[in-house]
Amino acid sequence: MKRYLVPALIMVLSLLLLAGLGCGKKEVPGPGSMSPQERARLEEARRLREARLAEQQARGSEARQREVFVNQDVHFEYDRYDLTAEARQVLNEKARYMQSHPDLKIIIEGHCDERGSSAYNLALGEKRAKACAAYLQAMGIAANRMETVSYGEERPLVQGHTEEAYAANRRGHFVIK
Amino acid sequence: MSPKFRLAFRAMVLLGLVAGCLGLASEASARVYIDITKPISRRLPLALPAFMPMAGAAANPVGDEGHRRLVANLTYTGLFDLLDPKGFLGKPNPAAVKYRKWSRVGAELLITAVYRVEGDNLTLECRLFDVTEGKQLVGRRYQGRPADIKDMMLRFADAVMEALTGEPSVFGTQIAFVAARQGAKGVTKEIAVMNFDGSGVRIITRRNDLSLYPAWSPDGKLIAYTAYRNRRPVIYIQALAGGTGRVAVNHPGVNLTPAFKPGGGLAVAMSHTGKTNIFLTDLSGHISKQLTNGWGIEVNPTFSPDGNKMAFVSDRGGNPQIYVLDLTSGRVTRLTYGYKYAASPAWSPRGDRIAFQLEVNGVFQIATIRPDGGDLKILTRGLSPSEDPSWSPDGRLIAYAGRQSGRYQIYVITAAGELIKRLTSLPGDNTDPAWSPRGAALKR
Repeated sequence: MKRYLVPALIMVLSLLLLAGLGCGKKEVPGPGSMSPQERARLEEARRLREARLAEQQARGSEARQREVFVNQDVHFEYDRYDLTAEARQVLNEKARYMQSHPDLKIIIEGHCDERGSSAYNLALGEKRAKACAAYLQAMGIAANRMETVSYGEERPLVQGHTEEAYAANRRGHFVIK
Repeated sequence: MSPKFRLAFRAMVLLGLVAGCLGLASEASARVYIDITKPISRRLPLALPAFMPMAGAAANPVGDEGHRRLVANLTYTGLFDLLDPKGFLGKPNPAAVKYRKWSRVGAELLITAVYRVEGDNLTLECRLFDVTEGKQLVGRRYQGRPADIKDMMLRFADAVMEALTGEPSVFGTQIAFVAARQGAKGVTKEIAVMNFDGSGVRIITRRNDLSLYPAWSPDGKLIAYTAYRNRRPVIYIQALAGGTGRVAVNHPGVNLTPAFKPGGGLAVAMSHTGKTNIFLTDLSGHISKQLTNGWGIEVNPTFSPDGNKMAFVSDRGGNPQIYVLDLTSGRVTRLTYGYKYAASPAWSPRGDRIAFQLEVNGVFQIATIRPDGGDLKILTRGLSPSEDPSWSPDGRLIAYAGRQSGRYQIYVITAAGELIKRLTSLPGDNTDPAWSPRGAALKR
């Protein structure tokens, strides 16, 4: 998340700077004394400013959306690979994001908690990743935009032998290629 | 000699073996002292006094080292009650063993060893006596350098076991396992191999990634395992003698848990059909047969010694359980009931039992069951998980991965559940032991 902090700061600073410049110009000439060229120039500057602002805003929200897409995992019940209502909600959001980004290609990773057989879990992780991919495909996402990989219990997000750690580790994780 | 112990072919085996040894007529015993097909009712009391210099030879530290190694080897079998050396007053004279004296201290078996070191030459004579019947069972003379003492003690322990059980021992065997280590980019897992007693650990893969589920070929020369290639778990086959291995099975989806089938071929769990089933392939990955036909997950094939049956894990009943497929009839039988999670089956090389991991009150334990589903025995009772059992080639011992020390380490128990030894004390998790067949080359 830190990597978005610096662009965000630059954005805020440049907006402040733009706003400051605009104010300085406005104070000097009165409306009556403004030439048509001057008026057109000011109008153009305002338009550019607004466009840039809109773009910055869009980019900020874009960064946030991408962040959510990558960081929000699809969670599963113990020893299950069917999708819960909550999992489907998360996948609906993934589908919307992929629809608005038609060039996006992804890898869906299937993960498990540490309990049980490591081999069975590697097979289970694949079922979880494939369940996510099948749902997205049903939502209209082309199959060739998605690749799946299972890491079973081998790549836990959270270390530890608690129910909380187990729940966090039973997941479908999305990686942008 | 009770007739039930008398087995003519075993007598022939013994006769063949003692030829060329410290010859004594009484070595030709047909008695099987330890019937390893039966549960152990008691340990055999064995006196093993200190190794002595031969007449006229000087004492040497190699004598104590040999004694220590032989004690460790024989303790590992779980078959002997080794009598306290402090209880032995006299120095045993191999030429004139006072059987009655040894019998009085409770010994039924006696091992004597005498040695001579001259320069860099070691001569060692070891004998096993049956104290009760008053005769020598084994006599061996070893010649080499003092540095060969480890090898000599493995060979003599092997001779002792062969004389007492009628079968070769596990002293020449190795155990492959998965060793996890913290690397720069996270945890990596490599395939490692060690001697039966935990000595001589070496890593045989250098993929710097995840290498999992090692399996031995029947001749002990190859190890198959699963490792990632372009984000896909595929099967590699690697010669134990060296090399980096080659991709053997690489079908779309996952390629997991290889098992060499007795008589040829490799059983692998694969998901290219959309379901994870077990297929039989050749060593180049060409599928000759689909073995299981589940709707979800079927993994972990393990074959009966004759290759006619295969146990595996399936979720076809709703959660992971052990099933047996009869390869001749195609019939599938469910073995485990009453528990919600059973996995990692390993068929005993004796054929009589299947070991697996079973969730008991939320903790995985090592259990065994008969191949017909009868006589479930839970062998471990820990509060932390015990997983991935693998049988020794004589079917007497089980290696498994247990987390009782915080990290997974490899332990060995008897088939009855008695702890023999913790084999590893290595950094990281050490899991998935796979015991070699007999004849794999031991790393000295």
